[in-house]
Amino acid sequence: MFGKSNNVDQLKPLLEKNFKGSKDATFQNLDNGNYQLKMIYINSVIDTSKIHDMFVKPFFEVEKKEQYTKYLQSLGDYKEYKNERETIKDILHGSVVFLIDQTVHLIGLNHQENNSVLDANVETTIMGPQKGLSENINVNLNLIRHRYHVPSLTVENNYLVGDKSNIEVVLLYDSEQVDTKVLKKVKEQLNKVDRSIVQSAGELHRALTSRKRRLFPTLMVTERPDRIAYNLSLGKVIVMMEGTPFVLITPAVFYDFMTSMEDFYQPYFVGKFLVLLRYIGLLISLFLPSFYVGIISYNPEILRIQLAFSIASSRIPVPFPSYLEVIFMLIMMEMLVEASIRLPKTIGPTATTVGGLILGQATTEAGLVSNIMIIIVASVAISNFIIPINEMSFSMRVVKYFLLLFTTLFGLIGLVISTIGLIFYLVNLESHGYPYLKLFFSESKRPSKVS
Amino acid sequence: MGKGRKVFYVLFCLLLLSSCGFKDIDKRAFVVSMGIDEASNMEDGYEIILKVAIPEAESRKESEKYILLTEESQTIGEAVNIMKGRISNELDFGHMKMIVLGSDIMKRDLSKVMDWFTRRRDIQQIAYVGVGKPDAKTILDVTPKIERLPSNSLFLFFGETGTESAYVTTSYLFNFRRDLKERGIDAYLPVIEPNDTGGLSIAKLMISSKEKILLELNEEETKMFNILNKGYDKFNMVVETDETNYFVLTMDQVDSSYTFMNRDQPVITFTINFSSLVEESTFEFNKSKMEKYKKLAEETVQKSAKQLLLKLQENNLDPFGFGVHYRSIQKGSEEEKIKQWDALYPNVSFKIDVKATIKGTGVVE
Amino acid sequence: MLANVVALVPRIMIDARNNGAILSIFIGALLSSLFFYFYMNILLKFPKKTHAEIVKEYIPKWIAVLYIMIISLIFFISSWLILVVFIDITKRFVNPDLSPFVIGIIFLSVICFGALLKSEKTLYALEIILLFCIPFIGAIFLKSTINQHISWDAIKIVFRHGFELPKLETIGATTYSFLGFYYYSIYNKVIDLKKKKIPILLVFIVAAVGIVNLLTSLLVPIGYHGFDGIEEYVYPWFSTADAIRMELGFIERVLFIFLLLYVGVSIISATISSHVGIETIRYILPQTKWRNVSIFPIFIMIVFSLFTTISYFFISQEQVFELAKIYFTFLLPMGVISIVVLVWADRRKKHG
Repeated sequence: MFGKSNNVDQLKPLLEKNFKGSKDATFQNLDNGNYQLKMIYINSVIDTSKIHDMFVKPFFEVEKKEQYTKYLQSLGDYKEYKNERETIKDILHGSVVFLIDQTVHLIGLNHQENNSVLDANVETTIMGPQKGLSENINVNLNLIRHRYHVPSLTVENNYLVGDKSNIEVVLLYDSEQVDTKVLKKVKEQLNKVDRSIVQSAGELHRALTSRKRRLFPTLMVTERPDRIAYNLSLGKVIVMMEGTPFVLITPAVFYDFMTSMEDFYQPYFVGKFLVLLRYIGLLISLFLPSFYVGIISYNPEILRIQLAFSIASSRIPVPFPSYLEVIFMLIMMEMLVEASIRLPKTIGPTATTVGGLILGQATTEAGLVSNIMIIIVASVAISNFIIPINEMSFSMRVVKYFLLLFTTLFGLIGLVISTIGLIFYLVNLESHGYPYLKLFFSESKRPSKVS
Repeated sequence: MGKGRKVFYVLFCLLLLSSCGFKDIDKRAFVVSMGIDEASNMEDGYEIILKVAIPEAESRKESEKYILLTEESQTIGEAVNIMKGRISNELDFGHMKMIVLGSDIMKRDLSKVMDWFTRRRDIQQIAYVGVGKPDAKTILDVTPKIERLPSNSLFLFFGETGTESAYVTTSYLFNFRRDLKERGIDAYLPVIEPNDTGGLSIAKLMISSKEKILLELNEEETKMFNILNKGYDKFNMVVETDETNYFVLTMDQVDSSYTFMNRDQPVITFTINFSSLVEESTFEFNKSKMEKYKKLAEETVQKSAKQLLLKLQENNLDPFGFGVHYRSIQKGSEEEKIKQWDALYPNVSFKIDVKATIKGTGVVE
Repeated sequence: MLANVVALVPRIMIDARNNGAILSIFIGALLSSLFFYFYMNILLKFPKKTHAEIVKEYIPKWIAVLYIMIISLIFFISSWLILVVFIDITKRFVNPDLSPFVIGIIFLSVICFGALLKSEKTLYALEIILLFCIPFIGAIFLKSTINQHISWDAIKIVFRHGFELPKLETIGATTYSFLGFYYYSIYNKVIDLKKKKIPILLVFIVAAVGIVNLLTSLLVPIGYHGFDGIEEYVYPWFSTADAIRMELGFIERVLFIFLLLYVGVSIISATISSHVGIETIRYILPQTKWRNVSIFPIFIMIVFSLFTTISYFFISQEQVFELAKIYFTFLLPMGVISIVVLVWADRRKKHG
């Protein structure tokens, strides 16, 4: 247990070389007359207020060196010395290194500033729990443990992701429910991650999927502890990351992205109605623009004559073909959405007013787009926001341009074909071995216990 | 990534290939109705009239404008092709919902006239067909005051979304054509006439047989035909009690069906059940005499129904399709059945059973 | 085989309306139920094996190779028929300005992608598309039967002639609409019915649904266009759909909804058909791989695609119908042969 005698001789110069230059590294020498020790830590990642109470005070009260060493070893976050590299890593993650004579002791005193629990503001519910996760992994574990009181809840935390960022990643699962195949796959992929910096759940998501260029999320990103607990009970694996209030849930299939936790908190029929509403919204936001182009430019006889005429007369002043009109307005809408996300909250409403009201009004007045087009773009935008998980709604925003392209080229047949192509593509996707999109048909090799 | 690249190449080729079919709605001229008249200076030629609606930017203000294109030619297709050169927008027949046949054209072989309509893929099978009197052009040129969209009033007449009247007979292109082709039934069309107030009125019916016999039914006969044929229940009936007094019934529910008896000497029995309300009367209704009133009503219906059926039989016309019915109950080859029926029809006798109920006397007694 | 209920089958059935059409539906249903029952029961004795695998394992090699080639060809022809007909329909009704070559390419690019997916994934896609389409198609069928302009007398005439002796091709056409269960020859590998035998009830349900389906597809067009008038229509069902009017709705003409739904259904049918064809023939092809992807299925799909798009220009609609008739007639003995081959394989399995 006591390190070999040459540990300190090797470590000390190494530490000095690495940290002497930085301002927040502290090299402290203590001497109470009987013996000396050296404390090394980075005061920006540890709880400095505790240093005095925990280490300095006892040092002057305890007379014998051995006794003080015993005291240190009895502390909860005591770690044994392994080698120099580990030690440097530990210091960076908030440990205090003690050099007493020829022995090295490490004590974790990690402190993170932003451990307050945040309001859930990406996936909000009306009647569900209002708080989301925090940016501190321990606080998050605490939140989840308080929602899921089962002894089989397992926490595995021996992963560090990113060569430079070295972010701590924790796997969380219910060992009785989990599908071991999925677990194995996730672990394999976590070990394979080769990126220098990983900072957000979305980035980790990218690193964890084998397909490098993908359009749809195959892992779910969430900030809601209640969703995490629910998914744990379904046997899914949760991947948590230090420093972000979002976690990844795997496997995640298409339907998961269309459910909101609200559905469970509402009466049965209300919940079903909400789900139905979302699918209708999905269809509208995907198909409406292409349907418009297909009907206007290829098969105007589809609509009933009265409707066809009111569209025709509203389109008369428009000087360019329908697909340009649609693309122009859709791009404006996307920009508006993007602008209101990036802008500070105080200016956001101004952007929407200018864009939505003034621009919309002015373009129709100027005869650049038809009135009907404004209605279509607005309903596409609104119905796109109905999709509860942000990632999915972003994907769908992109997909509708593919449909639009095919419809512009081939008319409504193009729309049908590209829809079928989209279905084939979705069906072909997998989320850690689970088919992404399917209905009832159950495989013979169905993995156990996971819905 | 091999697949991705392949898809890309395919797409690229497609982009080069396609340039066709894309035509915006405002670059199209919609033909809303079409008329066919006899050509004035050509043997066996047609005069084709197209009513083309022109959408206008400020559609909320007043009714839409239209253009009437006319062209004479030996064939319909040729006439249409010539007219394409007369309008800058692409002629689109996808919304053509009304075909008006001039009354002169009715004397021709209609299945030849209608051939063009069934062959074109863009012509709706649910377009309405009617006879224009005196000719199709007059009818198409009429713009009733309440019309916002050109020809919309005709669409409302025939579609069940607008007026519902026992005098209006709806004939879709598909069932008109079916009746033209089917042996054992004669095709019928509503007659459209301009009226004094600048609008159109539809109250008559024209029946055309395969032997080119034409018969026009008057208003009352048309009403009776619709009742017998489809059990039309939105009509009124005047029942005279004596020389000066009468009452009017409004129908609530009408049920009409016929049965065929005795195949060699057929008797066709019509059963008409209706229930009705009193809508108007010149005298106080006496409850005890209800039975009598009912009887009177039954007799009135019976009389006019029998009159209609006999008139049709006299002219050897069969718009009800008794012949088809005969074919469906008789065995043997179709040609034989038709021959048999042609011989039988003049000797068919009709029986009419009417059962009336008067449910109430309206809001007052 | 929903796709052909509106395209080829009704045309052939309507040609036989004077000639025992009704009887042929019932005979077809009966034969198909028998085939269905025996075929499935034997397949279920070989869990998780495809038809081709069974044949390859237990039947002498040269017969097996020949047999597998024929079976695979049958599936490809089925797919080809659907495609040729629907390319024509698309050109005729939806977009007359689009060249059939382009239509063929866009159809086939999706079909190639779909047919080369894994078996279970084609099933997921099938389910989704059918679940989306069938309610609408069912509603249109239902709406087509409640229309006061329909001529019931014309339909009754069909029944008058319904029980005369039918032609073989008509029976073949009816059995063709039950063809779906032969696809199980591949899906046996991925579907686990957890049963040793097919329940009789299922056979009855399949037969009943098939009969109703065929009766609708035969009788409704006759009701709309008349016993004599129907003759001239090339695609009776699409002309019928055009005669249905939706009084209250954004879209008044049912035809377009019907067309678009059916283009969807036909593409998925052709995909499944080609997929089964590929999965069948791959057992007698060399398993050459290039960058971990088997080449031959892709190669076959490309050949098939080229053949389909080009053949459209060399074959008239009449010839397609004639070919379809021959093909349908050929299906009947093939059903018997497959069952015989499977029974043979089962015997050989038992006797080692």
